[in-house]
Amino acid sequence: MIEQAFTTSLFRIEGYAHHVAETRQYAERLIQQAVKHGDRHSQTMQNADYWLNEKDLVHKLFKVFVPRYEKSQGPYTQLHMFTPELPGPERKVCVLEMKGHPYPSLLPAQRNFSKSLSNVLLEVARKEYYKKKAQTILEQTKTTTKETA
Amino acid sequence: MLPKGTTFLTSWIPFKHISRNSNTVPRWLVEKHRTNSLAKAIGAPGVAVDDASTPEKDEKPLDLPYDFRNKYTDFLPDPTFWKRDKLAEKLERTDMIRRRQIVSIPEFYVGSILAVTASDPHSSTKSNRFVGICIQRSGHGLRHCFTLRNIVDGLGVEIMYEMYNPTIQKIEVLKLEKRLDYDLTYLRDSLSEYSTVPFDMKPVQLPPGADVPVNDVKVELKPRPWSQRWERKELKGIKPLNLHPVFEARTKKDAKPWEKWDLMKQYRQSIHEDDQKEIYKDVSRHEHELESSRERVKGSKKLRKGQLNVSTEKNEK
Repeated sequence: MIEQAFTTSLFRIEGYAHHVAETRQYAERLIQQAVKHGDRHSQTMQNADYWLNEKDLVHKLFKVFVPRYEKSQGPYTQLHMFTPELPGPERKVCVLEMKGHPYPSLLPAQRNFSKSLSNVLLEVARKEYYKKKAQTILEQTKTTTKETA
Repeated sequence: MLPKGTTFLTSWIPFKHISRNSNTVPRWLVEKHRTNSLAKAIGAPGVAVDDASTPEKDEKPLDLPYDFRNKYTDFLPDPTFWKRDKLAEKLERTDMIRRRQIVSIPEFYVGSILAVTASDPHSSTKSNRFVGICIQRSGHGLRHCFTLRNIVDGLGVEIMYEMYNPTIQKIEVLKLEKRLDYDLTYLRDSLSEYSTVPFDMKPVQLPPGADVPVNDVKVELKPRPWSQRWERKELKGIKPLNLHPVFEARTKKDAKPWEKWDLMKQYRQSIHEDDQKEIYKDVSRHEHELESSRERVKGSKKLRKGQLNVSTEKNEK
């Protein structure tokens, strides 16, 4: 099956959305079982043996991935969606990778533009606006309390 | 062009529409539950959790007993995701526990011999007692049913009882045991000696604290035709069938050996351990209450017999 072919890699997989999404489920479930039961559990070992065609990956699963994901909660994999490779079928190309991997990330590093001139001026203007607004509200409440009193 | 007014069968199905992806959970629904503020407030697992943070709970981690799923099968809800409703399940559980406080529903398995006393307005004694071997357990929650089979005057009789039916007055386990299969429906196609249970059977006492014994009897089936294709079911509790090799070939052709390894199918057909722990909290509380009430009853009996030494102020002085 497709899942069996994909989960042999256990690092980074490229494919179309529906294949990769299904593979993700099976990979996550396998890792979850390994984390929960460990490598002494017969059923987990049998599952790993069935799904991982390369037997050194079974070792990698229990010796590398289990200690990495023991304490974390949530998905152990990251799914990135990219644009379709045109000319070609109108299907999003997806990449599935393991979280916490030591290789360079696929996404570009997020750049911080808050120190640019226009943003600095805008930030100051925003603060001044809200300060003024707060003052007007304060004056309004004072006048209403005076009227009631 | 179809004639005007043609309606298709799909329009009578109670779903709004059956789309190609109706067995999937849409992304917006997952996000809605993941970012739900109410779930966050009660600290539900997996809700809006960051990768860096670890779930730190104040209370001790609850250990689920190994046989919880088999002992209290009726407490587990339907795993179909669009039927799950935590509030409804909680309310159902409280009702089940209230009923269990009135009628004691003992632990039993498929293969155990039970005696059920139900109310019957048409009999001279207003009750009706049936003894039989439990061949099937189905349903979830208050709708959990079990079927008892017996041979009465040469005729096979099966009665399906709803466990929480208020007309049931008493459920006794005459013989607590398990079998090699979880479904003994094949007894319908087996020789009658395997389904006969005497109505005046005395309860069999097990040594206290012992595991539930597994009866590894191999049932002999009657010759074909059967009600179901037993040769395809991978039954462990039947004698070798000795059929024509064509049957084995056909079974192999129609077999789905990959289902055994289908992790996601198994996951979707099971209840998550966190939900099981929630259920077990209520069940364990009910068990403790039963134990304490039993001890109180024992204590009061001993008091009446004069066996219990109750120290009073007068005695101490």
